[in-house]
Amino acid sequence: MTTIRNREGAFGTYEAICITSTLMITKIFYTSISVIIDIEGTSGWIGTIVSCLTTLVMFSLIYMLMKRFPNKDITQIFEAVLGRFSGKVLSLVFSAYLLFYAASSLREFVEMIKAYNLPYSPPSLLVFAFIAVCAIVAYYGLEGIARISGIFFIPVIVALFVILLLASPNYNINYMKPYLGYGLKETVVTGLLRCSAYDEVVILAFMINSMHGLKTFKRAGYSSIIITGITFSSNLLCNVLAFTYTGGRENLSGLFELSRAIYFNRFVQRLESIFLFAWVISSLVSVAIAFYLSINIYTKAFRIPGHRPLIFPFSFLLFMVALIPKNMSEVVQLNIHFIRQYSCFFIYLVPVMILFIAVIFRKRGDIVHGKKN
Amino acid sequence: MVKRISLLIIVCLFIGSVSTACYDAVEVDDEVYALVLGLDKGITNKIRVTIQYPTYKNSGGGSGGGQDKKAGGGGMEGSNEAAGTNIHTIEAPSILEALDMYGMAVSRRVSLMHMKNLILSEDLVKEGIQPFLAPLARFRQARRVVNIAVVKGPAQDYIQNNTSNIGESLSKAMELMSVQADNTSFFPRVTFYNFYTALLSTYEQGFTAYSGINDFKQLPEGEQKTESPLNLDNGYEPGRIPRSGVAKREFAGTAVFKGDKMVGTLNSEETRYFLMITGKFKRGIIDIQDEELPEYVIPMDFRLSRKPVIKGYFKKGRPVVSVSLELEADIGSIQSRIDYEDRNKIEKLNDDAEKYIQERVTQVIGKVQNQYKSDIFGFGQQFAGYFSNIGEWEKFNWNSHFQEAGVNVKANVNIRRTGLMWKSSRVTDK
Repeated sequence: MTTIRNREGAFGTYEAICITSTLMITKIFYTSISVIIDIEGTSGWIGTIVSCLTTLVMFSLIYMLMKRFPNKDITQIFEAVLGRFSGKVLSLVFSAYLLFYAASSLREFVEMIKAYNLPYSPPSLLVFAFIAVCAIVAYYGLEGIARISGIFFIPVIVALFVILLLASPNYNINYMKPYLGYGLKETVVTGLLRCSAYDEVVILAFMINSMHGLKTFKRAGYSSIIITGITFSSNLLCNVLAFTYTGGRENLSGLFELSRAIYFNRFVQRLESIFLFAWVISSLVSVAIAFYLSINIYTKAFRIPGHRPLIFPFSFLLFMVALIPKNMSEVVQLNIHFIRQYSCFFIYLVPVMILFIAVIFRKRGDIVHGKKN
Repeated sequence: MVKRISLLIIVCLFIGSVSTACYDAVEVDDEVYALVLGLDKGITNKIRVTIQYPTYKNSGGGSGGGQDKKAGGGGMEGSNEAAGTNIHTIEAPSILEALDMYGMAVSRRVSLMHMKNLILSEDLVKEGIQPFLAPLARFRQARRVVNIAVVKGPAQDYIQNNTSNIGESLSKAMELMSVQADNTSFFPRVTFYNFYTALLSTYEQGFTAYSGINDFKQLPEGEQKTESPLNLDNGYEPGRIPRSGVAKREFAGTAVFKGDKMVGTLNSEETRYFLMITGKFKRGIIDIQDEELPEYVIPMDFRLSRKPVIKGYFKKGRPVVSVSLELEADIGSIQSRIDYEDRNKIEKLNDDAEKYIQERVTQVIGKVQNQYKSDIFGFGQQFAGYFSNIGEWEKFNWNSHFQEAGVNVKANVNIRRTGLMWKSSRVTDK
């Protein structure tokens, strides 16, 4: 255990917040805004608060599970509760899901960069270049990823809010009306389902041994959920205020269109380069995190010492899975729709089920120094 | 160590080769950048598309009034080289295909990356603009901050007269022309983003600037025989302004849309009051008749002192809108030399100005309600809050209720400054 922890590296609360927040926030650069506005209308910003609150509840349950099994990450808890075979299978399912997540996010990024910037470059070339960078980042392990996230998180968040601020002359507060969008029921139900958009917070449970214990886990989890909630909600609101609910649902990237709408005078315009910087960096970091964790969980499941030998084969897998969807519509309407709307049934419910099983069968963590932890 | 350095070199070479963007690399010189895109109804095909792009040659400051040369006929016509630009027109089934079709004659790829103006002919927009705007909203090259205007007559002819008369840069001239909307408020500055948002909106309807060509025949020639009349209602439409000069194209007024069709216009004067209601009136000099000596006027420089307060409510099921305008003004001149700077008289002048503005704003609202039945003011925004959800709001269909809305207008004018004089002395021996 000690060997693995050393290899993965150690990082603090700030880095943990940066990793999870980057992973969660990146989707705001893509189709997420338009999809929510399409479903919820003017109340999308309220709906995402519902999602945020739901995630806080779900994360609390996951925290209870982690507290029950101190010094264990979630893959070890799976094995402790379900037995070795079932625990491994469950870990492998998570590994596969994270690979699917990384591939779908990568493909969404590639489709969008083709739509906006590089229309004639072959997707395979873009995917290849992107994976090459992710592989290098993954090579340096979790600590490397944590440091990168720590460096880039603040500039990305600042860039994001600078765009929202500069686009403010286009906002019309009356476009918030009718306040309940397509109805209270639609807002709450979609809000509950869209807690999937926050479920990346569960990665903390896989990285807990690299953090300074449960306290860091708890702080990082709650902080990143709240940061993401504020970011999502403000972005959704700004998009509705700028484009109305009828126009907001059309955009491929609401945030990019918002940055393209910034015009102060002849000299202050075309500020979407700010957006591009934030977009590319955060996409890169988030795919690298998911990619690394996929390998990491796999190594833990099979007790393989070190993740580096697996980077190459997993890169191939990532490449192939990223190229499976035939077109943009398939990526958005199948892969991304599943990840951001229905993945909560898997990501949240599995740990919660494990918690219930552990409670029912009275399973707890190891006894250390003659005292139950 | 050697292994690491080799790896680093390979990575650097790889990144270098990829970042040169071999597939999407475009040299600046490989493209021509259309500054203006004009759309007319086609004769042999769905749409006639005109582009104007700079030739990057020394234009000598423009030719004044533009050129009407049309080189060749058939599908593609025209060039206007004298003003440092080329103009091409083509008919095609769609705008995007037209851009490709230019490639059969223009030696460089046509790009809309630096487009400044989108010009729509009146004939086209009266039939509906939706099939032609949708591709521009989707097309990555077209920026949504381009200015949009409807022109009287063919867009092709208009663009032939679109020249820079001050300085060499047509691009700069066009951007500065749009800024004139803020300086005079005789026409609105509307971007594609504004127009497209309004087109899809359930709260309001769209409008654009109204433009046209002036043939300089509106300015009467000959000797003045009678006393010059005072005409305060000097609202003009493009092409009708009594002037002569260099630039033939002019912007005056607003094109009013209902859905994707143009249904009418506001003249330059009405546009000012319309912009006051929407809060987009920046400044403008308005002549107020001198009540004591009606043959004279008092030009005042008006501006909105704060955003107009618009409230909407239902009274016995009928929508009612109350518009409250707060304006500030500076006295530009007092032709009669009556001592209006006096603390008591300035109040009287405030009242006169308030009455004047209030009447005209009410008239403009009445005209739009009764003639065009299109809520270009965005009053619908005030009523959407009365509905709990979008379904109910859309079912209510504000646009069908706009014309029955009662509107109360209140204007409050404060004359703040009196120019560089604080008193008017009488001219002696008059």
